[in-house]
Amino acid sequence: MSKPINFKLNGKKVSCDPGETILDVAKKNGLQIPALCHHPDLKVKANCRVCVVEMKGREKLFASCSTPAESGMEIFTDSPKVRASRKENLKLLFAEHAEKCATCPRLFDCDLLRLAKEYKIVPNAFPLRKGRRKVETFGGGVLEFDHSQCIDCNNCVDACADLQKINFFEASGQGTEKIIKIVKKDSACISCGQCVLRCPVSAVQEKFSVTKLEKSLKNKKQIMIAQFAPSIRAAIGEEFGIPFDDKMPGRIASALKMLGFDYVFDVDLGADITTMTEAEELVARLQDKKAVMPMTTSCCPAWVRYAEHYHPEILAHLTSARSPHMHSGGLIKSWWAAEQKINPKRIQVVSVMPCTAKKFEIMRPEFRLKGGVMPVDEVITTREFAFMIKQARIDFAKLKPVAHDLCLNNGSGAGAIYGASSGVMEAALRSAKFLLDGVRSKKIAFQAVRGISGLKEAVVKIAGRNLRVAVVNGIGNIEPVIKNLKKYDYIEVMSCPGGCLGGGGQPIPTTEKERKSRMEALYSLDENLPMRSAHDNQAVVDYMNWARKNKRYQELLHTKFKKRA
Amino acid sequence: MLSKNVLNLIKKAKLRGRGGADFPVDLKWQSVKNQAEKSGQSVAIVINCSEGEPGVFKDAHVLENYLPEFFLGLRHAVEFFSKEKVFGIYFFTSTDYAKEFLPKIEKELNKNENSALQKRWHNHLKSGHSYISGEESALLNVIEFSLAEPRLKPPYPSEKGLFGLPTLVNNLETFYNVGLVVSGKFKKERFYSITGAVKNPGVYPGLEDANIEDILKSTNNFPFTDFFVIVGGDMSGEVLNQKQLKRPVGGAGSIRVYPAKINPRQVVREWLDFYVAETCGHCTPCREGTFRLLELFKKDPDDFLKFKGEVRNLIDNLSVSSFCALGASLPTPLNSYAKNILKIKNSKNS
Repeated sequence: MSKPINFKLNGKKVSCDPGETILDVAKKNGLQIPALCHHPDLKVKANCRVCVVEMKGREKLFASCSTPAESGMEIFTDSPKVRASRKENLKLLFAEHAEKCATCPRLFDCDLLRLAKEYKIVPNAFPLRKGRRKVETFGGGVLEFDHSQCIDCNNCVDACADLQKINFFEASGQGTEKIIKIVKKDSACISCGQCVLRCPVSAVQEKFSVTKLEKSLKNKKQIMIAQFAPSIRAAIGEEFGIPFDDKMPGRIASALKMLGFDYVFDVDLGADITTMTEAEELVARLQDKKAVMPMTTSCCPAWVRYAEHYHPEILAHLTSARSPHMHSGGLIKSWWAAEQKINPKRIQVVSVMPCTAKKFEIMRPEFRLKGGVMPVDEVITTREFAFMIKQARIDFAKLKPVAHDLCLNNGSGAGAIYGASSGVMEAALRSAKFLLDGVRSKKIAFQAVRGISGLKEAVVKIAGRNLRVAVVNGIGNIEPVIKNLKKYDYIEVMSCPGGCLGGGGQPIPTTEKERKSRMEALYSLDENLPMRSAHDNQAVVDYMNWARKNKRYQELLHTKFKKRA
Repeated sequence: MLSKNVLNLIKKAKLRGRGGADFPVDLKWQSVKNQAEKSGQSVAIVINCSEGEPGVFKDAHVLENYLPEFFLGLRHAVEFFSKEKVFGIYFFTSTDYAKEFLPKIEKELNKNENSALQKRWHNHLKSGHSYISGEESALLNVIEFSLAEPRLKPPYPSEKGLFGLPTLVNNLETFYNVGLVVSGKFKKERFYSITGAVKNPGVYPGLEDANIEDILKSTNNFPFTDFFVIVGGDMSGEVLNQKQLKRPVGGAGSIRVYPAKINPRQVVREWLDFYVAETCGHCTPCREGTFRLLELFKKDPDDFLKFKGEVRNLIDNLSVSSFCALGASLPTPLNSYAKNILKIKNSKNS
C-alpha cells in the first residue's frame, strides 16, 4: 500500500490515495464541484474549466478534474476567485449553447440552467455564437446532433471512439471554428446513444418523441398501450431522487396510467418469450451438427446494427428470436387483440425503453405483422418518460403503486435480469437446460457470467454438455470475440456497458456507480420473484404453441437480418 | 569526434532552452534519460522549429547560417541516448521554412549516409501558421496526426511523449547552442529577433542576460523618437516603456519596437486578431474568451481600452483558468500595455 495523501480541502483535513484527483476527493467528502466535460467513463480532457479550484500560494487556478491531490496542498473550491472564474466560463459556455429547452429531455434537470441560476448568470450575457449551426440527424434517424447547442467538450467523440470503438464523430477545426464532424454519414452509427448519455448539454439527444406521443394520447379513438422494459424500474427512481424498491414497477404503471395510457404491460413477459424462442433455437442448433455455431443473441438492436454494418458475414450466427418488446408488441396486436375483440389497427403500442436504438428497431420492416401493422408504434426513452412525468407535475415519489395490466401473465425473474449484461444468456441457459434435460432445478443462477467486466468468458455445464460462453459487455469489446468465434458455443452481446441498464436512453448521469446499483436492483427482483425461469411461465409456452398452431410462428416470433452498406 | 561528457558541459555552460520557457537543458536531457532507463523504452527526439510568433525568426537564421553547428548539437543528443536507443528524430517546422531550408538540411543529412541521424530523421510540417502547435505537447499531437491541441500535463513529454515514449523536445536554437558548447565556442550568447519600427530589423547575437537597451543600441536599432517595446515572445511578451529598458529580454528573445504615437486601437487589435486566429479551441476561457474580447473591442474600442468590466473579467479569466500557456499569455501584453503605456490606474501586473 502506498502512503495516503493528506491535504486541506476548504480548511478541512482530508486524506486520499495517491493519484486521486481533487474533484474525486471533494466528491467523496460531500463537496460537489460543478464540472461539465468531466465524465468518469471517459479520459480527462479538462477543457470546460468549470471545475477550477484555488491552491494556496498559486496565482493560477487548477482544474480539479485533472489535478491529482498532493500532500500539503491547501485547496479552496468556492473562493471568490474560483467563483469569479467559474462564472465567467459558464457565461462563455452558455453563449455557445442555443437554448431549445422546450424539446429537450433534460429541461427539468439541466446542469447549465441550474448553474446559471446558482452563479446568477444573465441569459445572453454575450450574443449567441452558434445560433445558425445546423441540426444533423443520424443513427438511422433516431439521434440528433444540434451543433447550435454544442459546448465543444468532445465527450461524444470520446464515448464513441474510446468506449464503443465506433469512431463515428471527429473533432475538427480550430478555435471558434471547432465543430464535431460526423465521419461516416449515418451508415456506421449503431444508434446506441452512449454519446447522448455523456453530453453535458444535450446537444446530442434522441429524437424527441414526446410531442407526437402527447397528441396520440389525446386521440380517444385509439387504444393506447404502454409497455416498460426491465431496466426502467431499476433506473427511473434516480430521476426523482428515490432509491430502488420493489414498488417501482407499480409506480411506473401508475404514472403511465396518469399520463393517459389505457393499458400498461410489463416487457418482462416479452423477455420470457424471447428466452423461450432463443432457448429453443439454441437447443436446435446444439443438436444439429450442421448448424451455424456459435449462436449469438440479437435482442440488442445496436448490436444488430453493428453486425449488419460491420460484419454481415456473421449474420447467420444471430438468433432469429425477436427482442422482448417486439415479442410482446406482437402478442398484444395478435392474440390479445383477438381476445379483446379489438382491431389491431386501433392499438398504439408505446415502449418505454432504456435504449435509443429501439427507436430504430421498431421501424424495421421485417417485423411487420399480418394486416400490415407494426408490433410497436413508438419508443420513448427513460429520460423522455421522466420528462413526461415531470411535465405533468406528477409527484412520482408519492405515487400509489398500482398493478400493471396482465396481457398473458407476469414475467419471470429471468425476464427481470434481461436488463443486466449476461441476463439474456443466463435466462436462455436456465431454459435451454430444461429443454435438454427436462429437469426443473433449484440452482439456477449462473454466477460465472455476471459482473461488470467488458468481456466475460466461462464454460458452463448444462444437461451434461460443456458450453463455452462469452458475454460481451459493451460493443467496444466485440472485435476480439468476432475474430475468435470458433472458441465459443453461445455469445451474448450488449452494446452498452452494463447492458440495457446502462443503455443510451437511461437517466443522466450513467456512470459505474449507477450501473452497479441498477444491476443490484434487477438481481434482487429476480431473487424475490416466485417464478424465475421462462419455461415455468406456462402462458408463454401456450402462446408460442398458439402461434405455431395458427401458422404465425415465423411472423410473430422470428426476424431476419440483412447486410447494410 | 563526439564529446563524451556532453551533459556536464551543458550543465557547466548553464544552458537554458531557447523556446521561451528557459528550462535548464541538462535537467531536461537527464529526465528523459532517467525515464527511458526506468521504462526500458527508446527515446524520441523532437526539434521544435515551429517559430509561430511573427516577431521571432531566429530559428530561420540558424538554419540559414549555422546548420553544421546545429547538427553537431543534435548528434550529441543522439549519442547521449545511444544506450537507450533513439526511436526517431522529428524535425517539426512550418511549410514556409520547409520550402526554404529542407533541401539544405537533406544535403547535410546525406553527407553521412546510413548514420543514425539520417536513418531516423522525419520531417513534420505543421499546417499554416498555427502558433499553438509550437507548444511542445500540441506539437506531439500534430506529429501523431491528432488535432493541434495541448495535452494534459503530467505526464510531461519527457515522461510520456511522442507515441508514449520518453521524448526530448528542444528548440532548434537549443541544439545549435549545444553544438557550440561541445566545441568550446559557446560564449553565453543567444539570438535576438528585432522587429518593428527600427532601422535594422533582423537577428543578432547578444549576451544571454543582455538588457533591452543594450541590444537595441549595439545593433544600431535604438529609435530617435519616443517608443515602447514588447519583448520576449513577441505577441505573448511584455510591453515596456522607455524607462523600463534595463531589463533582460528573456523569453524567446524578441524585441518589437512601436512608435509612441501609434494608435492604441491598432496595437490592441493586432494582438486580439492574432489570438483569435491562433487559439486551438480546446478550453473555454481561450476559445470563447479571445473571441468575446475581440467582439467587445469591435463594438466599442474606446470602452475596451479602459480595461474595465467584462473586458477585465475576460482577461483575468484567461490568466487564471486557461488550459495552457497560450491562453494565459494574452493577458501579458494587454495588462502590461494598460499599465506601462496607457498608465491606467489599478491595472493588473502581467
